[in-house]
Amino acid sequence: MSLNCLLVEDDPEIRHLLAGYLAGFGMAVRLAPDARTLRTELKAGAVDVILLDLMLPDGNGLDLCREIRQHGATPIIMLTAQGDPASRIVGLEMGADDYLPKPFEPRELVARIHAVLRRTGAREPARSLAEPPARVHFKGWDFDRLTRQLSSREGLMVQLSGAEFRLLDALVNHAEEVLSRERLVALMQTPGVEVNGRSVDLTVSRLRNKLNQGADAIDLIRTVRGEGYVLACAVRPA
Amino acid sequence: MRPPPGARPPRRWCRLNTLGVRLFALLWLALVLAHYTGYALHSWRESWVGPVQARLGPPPWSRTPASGPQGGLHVPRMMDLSPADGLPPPHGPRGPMPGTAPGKAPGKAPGPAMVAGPVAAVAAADVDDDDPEQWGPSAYIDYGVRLLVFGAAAWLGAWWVVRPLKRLNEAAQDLDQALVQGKPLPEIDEATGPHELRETAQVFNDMARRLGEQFEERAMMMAAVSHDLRTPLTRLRLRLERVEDAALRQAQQADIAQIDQMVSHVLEVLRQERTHEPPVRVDLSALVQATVDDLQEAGGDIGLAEPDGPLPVPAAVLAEPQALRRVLDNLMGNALRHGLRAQVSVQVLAAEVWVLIDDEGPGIPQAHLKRVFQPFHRVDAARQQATGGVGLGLYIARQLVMRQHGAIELHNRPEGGLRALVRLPLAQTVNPS
Repeated sequence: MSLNCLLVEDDPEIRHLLAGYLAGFGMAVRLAPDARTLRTELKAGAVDVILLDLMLPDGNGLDLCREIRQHGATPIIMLTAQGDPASRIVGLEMGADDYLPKPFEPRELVARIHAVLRRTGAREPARSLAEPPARVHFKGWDFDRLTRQLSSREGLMVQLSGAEFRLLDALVNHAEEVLSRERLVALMQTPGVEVNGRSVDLTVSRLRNKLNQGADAIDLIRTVRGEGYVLACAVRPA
Repeated sequence: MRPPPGARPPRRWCRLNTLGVRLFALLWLALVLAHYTGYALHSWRESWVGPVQARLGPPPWSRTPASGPQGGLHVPRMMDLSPADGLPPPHGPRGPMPGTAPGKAPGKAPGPAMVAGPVAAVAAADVDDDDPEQWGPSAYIDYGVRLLVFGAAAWLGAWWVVRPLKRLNEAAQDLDQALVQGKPLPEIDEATGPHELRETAQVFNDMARRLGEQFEERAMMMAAVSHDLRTPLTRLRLRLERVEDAALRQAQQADIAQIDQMVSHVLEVLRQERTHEPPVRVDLSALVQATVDDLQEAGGDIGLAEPDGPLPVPAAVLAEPQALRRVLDNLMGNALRHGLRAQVSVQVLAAEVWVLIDDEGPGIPQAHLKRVFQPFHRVDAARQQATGGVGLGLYIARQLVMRQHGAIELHNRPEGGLRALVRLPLAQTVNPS
């Protein structure tokens, strides 16, 4: 079964070039030049993933993103010419699943489409509607998934590397649940990076160091011999 | 705002060197001096025209013993100025007088106070020497009151004159903030205040308006151009997928990446001027570690020196985290691009944290070490082209570091290679209570 893509892009040439490129990867691409067509296309039939340009002649991609989110959980990848960190965060806050600045590597877009579908497909139906909260709180730490910032109770901001972020994200989503190394490798997968058991171990020790600050430091990430790792504390939405 | 390190520290008294204090001192001195000279002249006249005066009766204020023998200009002592004639001569015991330093300037005027102090002291000494019976506390209260009234008048006068200037000063300070953060521009009331200020206000408002417009236009133009460049770049990139010749495709891909990088840099200059994050306490070693790890993950040959032991305090700095991250990304990226391999270390000193980024490249010719921080500066056009820089990276990095009250330095290492050094002030430790 081929993937159904809905490409919302106002530049006609990009629209057709990209449609042709994605068709080469076995995707069925439907096109929408503006917000109005997007709405009718969404009513016309099911879509697996929406590729959404941020600047449209009759609407802002961010508002559209929020509108689509209110009606369903179709994954959205934003394509935008404003590739700065702030607009990335805004995009993700509005419910986009991924964000790709223009000009992008076409192959990377294909990889991201598959990654997003894997992520959202892996979500249980019940949870796909209720996104995990963007900010969570655990044992004296605040963790913001959008800004990827971890701050201590005393207000000290501790920066995480990409790998540490993916690890903590996985651990927080499965708090108090033992995750095997293989499971973590799968959860920490991201396009363009090779993740293996050794890199998971290294990332765990790095993240432990960062979490082990302060007077009452205990190992939040415990090793369960022969089984894997577990985040040994309760996580609640902030 | 703190001055950048290396700037000459302002002298201690600079804080008092204000227009207001100057005017206050001037007015007070002038009033005291006018008073003093008036009596001096009067006494001088009296010593020459004494007989005439004698017929008319002695002037009520003259308390000086006859100064005939000395002749010439008689300079009265402070007590000569006393109108205390009208006061009954004090009879009470002359204890140590509490009011020996009258007219102690209210608040911040050491100048006149210092003048008043010794004068009063001299007066006190004179009282003991010359006229033990005639000079008591009431005379000093009188001097004190007079100095205080002069002081108050001078202070009011100074305040009155300087107040309009303060408005100008405040507006000028707001202007800087407004331009940087895109807030509404400050405007000075052109209808009130003295004539000169009204004119200045008009000029200032015009200037601010023009400056704001230009700032806005420049930002919009650059953003529009940069943004609009990315659409054709995306088209180009997609079209390239149809090119069969792999070598040609790769070369073009590199060109597109280079143009995109230039666009990003220009946009970033605009962005960093306009966006300020709230500063928070940032664990600098964690930030450096994360940056190094991310570059390692992307395949960079970069390492972080482990500290000799645990750091005595967490290397916490009060800063904008995203800005710091950009600085580190930039410097480490440079080290990897030009220096092939990079070694990073963090050092905590008494009041500063240093991040050192050493590479093994050719370094930078000594003559260029300072100039590389200027926008669009090129050390070597050929090299720049090969590595795709536009000459804005270090400029942005320095702007961002300076905004965190830090400094950035480049040194050629004696053993070869370049060392980039970022110095940031250590944040105060906070008790976790």
